[in-house]
Amino acid sequence: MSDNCGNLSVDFLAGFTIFIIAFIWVATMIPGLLIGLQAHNIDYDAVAYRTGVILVEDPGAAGKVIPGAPCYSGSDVSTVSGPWESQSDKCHIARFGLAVSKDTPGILDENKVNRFFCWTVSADPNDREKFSYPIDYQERAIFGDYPYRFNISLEVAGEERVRSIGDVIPDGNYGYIRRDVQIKGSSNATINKTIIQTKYWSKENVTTDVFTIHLNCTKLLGDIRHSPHQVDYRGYQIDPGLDNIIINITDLNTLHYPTSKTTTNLSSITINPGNMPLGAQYTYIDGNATPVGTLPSNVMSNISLVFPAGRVISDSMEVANPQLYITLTFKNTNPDPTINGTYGDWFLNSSMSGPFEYDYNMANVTQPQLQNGVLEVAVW
Amino acid sequence: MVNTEGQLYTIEGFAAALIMLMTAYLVVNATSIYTPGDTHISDMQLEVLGSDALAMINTAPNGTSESPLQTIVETNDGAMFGQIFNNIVNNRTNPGQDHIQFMANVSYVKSDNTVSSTTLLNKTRSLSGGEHAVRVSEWVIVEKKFPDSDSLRKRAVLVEVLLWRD
Amino acid sequence: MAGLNEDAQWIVLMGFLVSFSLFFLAMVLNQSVVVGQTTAEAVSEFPKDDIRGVRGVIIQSVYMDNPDRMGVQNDIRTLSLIRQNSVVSFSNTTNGAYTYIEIHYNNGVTAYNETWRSP
Repeated sequence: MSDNCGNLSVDFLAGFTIFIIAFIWVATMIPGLLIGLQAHNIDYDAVAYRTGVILVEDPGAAGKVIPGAPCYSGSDVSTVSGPWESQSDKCHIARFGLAVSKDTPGILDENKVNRFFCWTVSADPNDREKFSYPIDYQERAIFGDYPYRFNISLEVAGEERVRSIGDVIPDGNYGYIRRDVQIKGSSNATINKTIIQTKYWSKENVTTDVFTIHLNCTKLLGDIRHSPHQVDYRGYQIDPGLDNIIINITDLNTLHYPTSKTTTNLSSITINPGNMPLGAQYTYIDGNATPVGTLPSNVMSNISLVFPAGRVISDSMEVANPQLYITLTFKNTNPDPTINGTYGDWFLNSSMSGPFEYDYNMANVTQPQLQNGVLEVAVW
Repeated sequence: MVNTEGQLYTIEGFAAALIMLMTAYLVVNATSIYTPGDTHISDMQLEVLGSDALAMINTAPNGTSESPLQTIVETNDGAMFGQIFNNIVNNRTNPGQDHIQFMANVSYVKSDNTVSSTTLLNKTRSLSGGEHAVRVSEWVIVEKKFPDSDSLRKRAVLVEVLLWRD
Repeated sequence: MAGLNEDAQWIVLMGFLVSFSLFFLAMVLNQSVVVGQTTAEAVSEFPKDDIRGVRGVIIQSVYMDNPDRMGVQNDIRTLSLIRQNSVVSFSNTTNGAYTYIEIHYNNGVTAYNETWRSP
């Protein structure tokens, strides 16, 4: 028979309805809690700060990003030596860092800066030197699991262009840090008429003149560590193993006497010990933009020797030798046009007075300058 | 049909609804909105900037001369300090300057072993409103006689700079 | 009470379930917002520049002659205590060609100890 008893009581329906209405209401409130939440958004500033510290206060490290991982085929070596900016294969760079040393935070090394800002967007696997944005920088400076995009910019006083890596900074939310830094340049020695005529002007009529520049590495590394720079001496040090060495010899055409010659012949440049012929790849004659191809070569007035970082030591084949001598040999093979048969004349010569010392004497050598700069890191 | 047995469905439904609504209310109320100032991130950025700038002024230009900050403290040249510090701290890679204000003083030890300060650079700061101010300091060794100290001697002093954004 | 139908307890149970999951969600969200803040606070709290500065002047002071040295070292201790709320103590020994300086720094939260050797 049918009766009018239902399965569900009214009481149950009323209770269940109230419950469901409340549940739906709470469920619609929940997304409101999640509005401001995006996992990687929160730590943009922290990542930017960390990157800023790594770049400005750390000297970087050579080695492998993941120890033990193999490199691009053919470029694996058992031990990696030398600072990171001199590694030709980017697989041998473990971490970027622009500081001169860990005791000089805020003073950046110009070789590291130049190498760091050498980048490209497309990752050509055959180019082992240029870094590709963003992966190479993420592995070695940004770190973290999330692939952050970033922009690192450096403005140096006196330079027109701002150096920059990465994308254009977006309008929206990004983490930001700004660091004030100083960039240590390289020393150079300009040997001009005043210096030459005081000390290095040989008044003998010889046909071969020898001029020697002496780098006393022991003194160069040790003399700067005096008070008050026992800790931060690396900001002022001339280190032939790590810094550029630049030697300019000018006004050579004013030295000839009593003849009226205007050119001489630079026959060879050697580095001792080792007696290695320098090869003309570091020598620039008379203001030419390209190095002279081979020696001997005629010289009118200027010679510039520009040794990139560490080359003056590595080219001498003696890695740890404390005394280096760079010897320029000039042969007066051109006869004098006004005096018959005479080859010799007065010229640049250091045989009598002793070699030119490349050291911390400010009268002879321009010391490394510190240029002010601003480094900005933006991460998003 | 109708009998004396009771059921609790409605009451329990009410109870459950009340519990859920109370919880939701508490939760939504408790999630606070952090303003950027609460997170102290801008304080950290300002502090880093200030200590970088002070370190730069305290770096000698070469191995033999003294640092600009030593000269400034010894001659009490507040105007020079203001100019140099302002150029460094407000410099940006994009064109345009930042707007960071600062004031500086020098703390030293008196002859009776207490600490006193002299003002190096004064600037008025509105004490109400505005963002937090951050203090950075730098140690310098100078040869100077301060007003109420014993004599001219080499002493270690603390240059303290207060920075804030307008 | 025996006549009361207690089948409806599952409604309240479901209500409790939803509440507890709300609480859990709220806790997770609460911790996440704080991440950025604690990073910045941790950075500001570690006295990196203070330690670097004090270390620099201590090492400079060791290479000074008396009577300058005593005055400067006293200044360092006093100023560090009064202005930077930290206790520093240091001493030096010379062994052959090297000078060793022991530095201890403590500001109540962070302690730093170092034995510095001249290069």
